Amino acid sequence: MSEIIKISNLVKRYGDLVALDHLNLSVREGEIFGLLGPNGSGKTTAINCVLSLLKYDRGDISVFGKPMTPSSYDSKREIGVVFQNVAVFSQMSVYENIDYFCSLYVQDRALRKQYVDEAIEFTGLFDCRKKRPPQLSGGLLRRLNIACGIAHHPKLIFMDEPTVAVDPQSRFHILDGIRQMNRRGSTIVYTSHYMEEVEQICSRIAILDRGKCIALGTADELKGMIRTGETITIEGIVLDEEALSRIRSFENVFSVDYRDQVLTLKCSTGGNLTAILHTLESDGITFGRVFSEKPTLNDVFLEITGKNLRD
Amino acid sequence: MPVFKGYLKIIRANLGVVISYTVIFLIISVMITMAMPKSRKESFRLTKQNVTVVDEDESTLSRALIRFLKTTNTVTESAMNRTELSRKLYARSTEYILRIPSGFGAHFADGSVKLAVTKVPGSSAGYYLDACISQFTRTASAFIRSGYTEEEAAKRTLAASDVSTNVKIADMGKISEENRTNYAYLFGYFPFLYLSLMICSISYVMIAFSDREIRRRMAAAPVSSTWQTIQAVAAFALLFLVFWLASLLLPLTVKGRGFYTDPLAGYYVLNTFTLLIDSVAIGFLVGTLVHSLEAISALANIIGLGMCFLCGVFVPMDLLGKGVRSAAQFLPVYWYEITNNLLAENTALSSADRSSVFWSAGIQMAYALAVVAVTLFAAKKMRREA
Repeated sequence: MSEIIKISNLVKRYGDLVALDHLNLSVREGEIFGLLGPNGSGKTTAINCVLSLLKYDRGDISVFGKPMTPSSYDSKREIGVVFQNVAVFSQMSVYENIDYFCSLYVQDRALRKQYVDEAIEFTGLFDCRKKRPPQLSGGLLRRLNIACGIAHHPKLIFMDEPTVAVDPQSRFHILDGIRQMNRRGSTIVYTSHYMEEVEQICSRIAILDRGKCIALGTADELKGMIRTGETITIEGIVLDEEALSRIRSFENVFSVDYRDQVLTLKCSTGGNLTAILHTLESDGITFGRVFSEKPTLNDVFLEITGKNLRD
Repeated sequence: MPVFKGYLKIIRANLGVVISYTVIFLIISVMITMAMPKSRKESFRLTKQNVTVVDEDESTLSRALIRFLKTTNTVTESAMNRTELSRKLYARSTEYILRIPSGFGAHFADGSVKLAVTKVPGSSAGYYLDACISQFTRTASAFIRSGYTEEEAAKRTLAASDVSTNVKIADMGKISEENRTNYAYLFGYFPFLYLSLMICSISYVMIAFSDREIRRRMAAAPVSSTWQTIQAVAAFALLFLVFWLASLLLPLTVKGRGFYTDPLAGYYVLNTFTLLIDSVAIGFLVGTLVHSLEAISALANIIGLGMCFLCGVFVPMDLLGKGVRSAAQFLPVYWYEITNNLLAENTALSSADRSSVFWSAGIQMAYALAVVAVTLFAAKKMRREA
């Protein structure tokens, strides 16, 4: 697969604050590329630089194999953007909004009508196509924001946290739509600080922190980079020091955390649950609920940076 | 021209406000125009005072005095008693009661018999009639002292009071035709309409398009910022043109097609053009500085009404204080009103009048340029701070 976006050594400063610190990334054609990181990690700044909405201090950006500048109109024509904040006109109806933003890319009226109708159907806004944005719920407004960004059938779509403050039903609708767009041939750059979403839909993920890419790969590749293979949580358990020492001595357990009658064990490999529960039962220790979880992207972030993604 | 169409769509969305402003303006201005006197000729009316005279003397001089009073007043001779006359005065069916006592003529030269007067205290009619009677007695007295007989003195006094001549008031191109003032009044109120509507319409569109997220989306689109600006200017130019031409149809509501055949119509059109340019410039400034749709309507009224009151739109300029007039000279509406008043008072313009019209137009254009310069500076500063 060819590279559709290539970012080399990108530096962006806001005064003394370094928002992007020699960022290197490449996005391949046809993939859903996830940009994951906590708030302020540089995700939106990176997108703004790629779209030439922001001037950057150093580095090179190419899109569709060409350097990206504010006047790269041929490239811009093939790009769709769904911004984090809703960017629609409250004075226009749903249909007029989609039609207006589509008209910036598609001049042919008949083709545009077809595209707008498709976008309305795609985002499930048919019933409220004549309503104005102030009459829409938050979820529908987000869908309108997406429809305005993708109606013109772009080859490359940037989606900057499109599910922030969205109800679960609309979130499901949006994520399903992203997969459909990808199947239709669009390459998607998806930013979020919701790791579950990113893990669910992205083929490759870059984790950003303080303007740097600290990890890059598929979800499995990222999880393979860390020591944690399984996290076991046992609730309602009362342990003394002796029992804790025995648990610490288990072969695959490398981290034991016990507080408020909740025991959290980090294991380097999977399949340790049976052995641990057997030991507790043989020692006559009672316990409540038990969970066994595979590592998450938060674990990846935690192990690499020492902090949680949502800190 | 997608951006152009976008601007028009937003303007169209604001059409309800435009229509409501125009309808309110039309209703008020037409009502005021209709209530105004049709011409200055009709604003003068001859009035006569009701005078009641009780002539107890029946002499030559008393009859002469009554005739003298009849020349400018409605005189009723009565034999009523004092009580009845007082009631008449109380009911204001008469404004002045003159009793000429017996012996008035015989003792006129020495003045020993005085006229008795009953009047409404402090009334202007009372003062006026006192003056009339005084004029008669002084003149007649002068004739008698000069050796004339009572009869001759009475005759000459009456003749002297009947000095009249035909007076012709020179027109000098000043308006006196009844059909001229109607649309002059209407044009006088245009500043309120222009300012309110331009501030509302332009600010409404500017606020919509200056939204940060919208600007980002527009910047990400394959349309250069220059081309976007050109399309925006074209949309505003169209708004200007449509609104200007539509406003020039308003005189139809008060005077049919009469305005369009007026030799001064061109000057009225020029005056509205420069005022509309100013209103557009002020609209841009408000749209740049204000980012709340709710505040726009209030500001439109404050600026529109404020300028109109200061610059003599609702109150005649002559009634404004010197300080207010001096301050108003810094506002374009003042110069618009100066020209409008000049056009309203003339059927033809002298070269000095024409210079005044063009001078006012020039000041209005300079004002617009200054406002645009301030707007550009403010916009640049705000972009930097953002």
